[in-house]
Amino acid sequence: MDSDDVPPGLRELPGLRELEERVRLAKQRTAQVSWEAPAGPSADDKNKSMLALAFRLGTEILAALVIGTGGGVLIDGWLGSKPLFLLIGFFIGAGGGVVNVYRAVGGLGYAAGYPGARPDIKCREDSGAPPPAGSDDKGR
Amino acid sequence: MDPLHQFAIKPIFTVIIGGTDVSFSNSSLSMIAVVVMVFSLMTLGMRSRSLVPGRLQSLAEVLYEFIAKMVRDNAGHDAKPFFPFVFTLFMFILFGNLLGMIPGAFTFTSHIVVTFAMAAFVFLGVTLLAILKHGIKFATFFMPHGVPLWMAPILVPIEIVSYLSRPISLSVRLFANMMAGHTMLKVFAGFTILMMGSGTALGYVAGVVPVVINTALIGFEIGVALLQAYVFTILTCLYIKDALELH
Repeated sequence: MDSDDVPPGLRELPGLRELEERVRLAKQRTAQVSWEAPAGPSADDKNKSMLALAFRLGTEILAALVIGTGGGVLIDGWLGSKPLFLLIGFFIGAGGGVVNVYRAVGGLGYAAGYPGARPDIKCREDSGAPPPAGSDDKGR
Repeated sequence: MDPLHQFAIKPIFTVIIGGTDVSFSNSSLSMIAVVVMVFSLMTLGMRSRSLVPGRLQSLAEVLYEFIAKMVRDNAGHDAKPFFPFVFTLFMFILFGNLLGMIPGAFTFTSHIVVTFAMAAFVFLGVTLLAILKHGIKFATFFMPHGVPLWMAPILVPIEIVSYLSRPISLSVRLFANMMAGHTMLKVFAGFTILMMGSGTALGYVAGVVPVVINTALIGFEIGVALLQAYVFTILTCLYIKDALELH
């Protein structure tokens, strides 16, 4: 906890002040020891989120295909137009799956309707990769 | 033995109301066990409220701060009211996954009906939140900015499918990972029984190999249990952010 977060009343407690002093000293000590203090997420953190990303991608395509094709089958059953909407739904679902994966990898925010890459959620999972083509307004 | 046998739902008390089976099953029992465990960890852990935390309090604080940071970083400051929900969701999934790692315990997160119920709740809640907050403007969510109008008939259905696929991908990911992992463990354990069952010396020696593999797999599965709880929660945070900001 940073000292700024401490409510003013609590800061007066002698025990807390002593703890704060000790934390400050400890921080100083570790700052001297670790010469390459990680500024951003550590390598371990990055590995974890890369793994999380890898686990996501497969289901993204599957889910969109299920929704697209399933929706097509439902419309067909309703209108009796078999298999027209099944086919349309399949392709829309495939498109949706690609969009899902593209957004997940590009870090565009995992959602529909993105105008472009958001500076606040920038490629969290793959900061090394260049921004995907078409991440600007014009390209989409 | 059937590796899928472990997922069977067995009623403990059979209750049938109006023709619907609402029995208290082994799945219900493990859910209640998880709720009790999470509740005890948070209340007993924080009971001393000491400035320098003990082990249990440290654990409770670490979990709390982890989720608080996740909500703050991924959903923004406006998402603070949703912290209790996200925290509850995370703890429920995390403990459900980890409880399933105890041999013989039932893993309720390996059932799609459970994960889909959670994902559908998140999806409906987030959609409702977006509609309540932005009203009709919510519809612009499905039309990317700066796209020529003639492309709308192609893009809008794709965006809608992409949006509707959220609860499916959220639930299938958790369920499939848990179920696949537990099935794999059981399959490898079954190999040992088969090899030992042959009764030959070679069988006994070879039977050790799956045990070694399973030892590594258990470690891997614990990693998956943590990771999947994390993924489910972080995506919930991002969906809340979308609903709040709607770009």
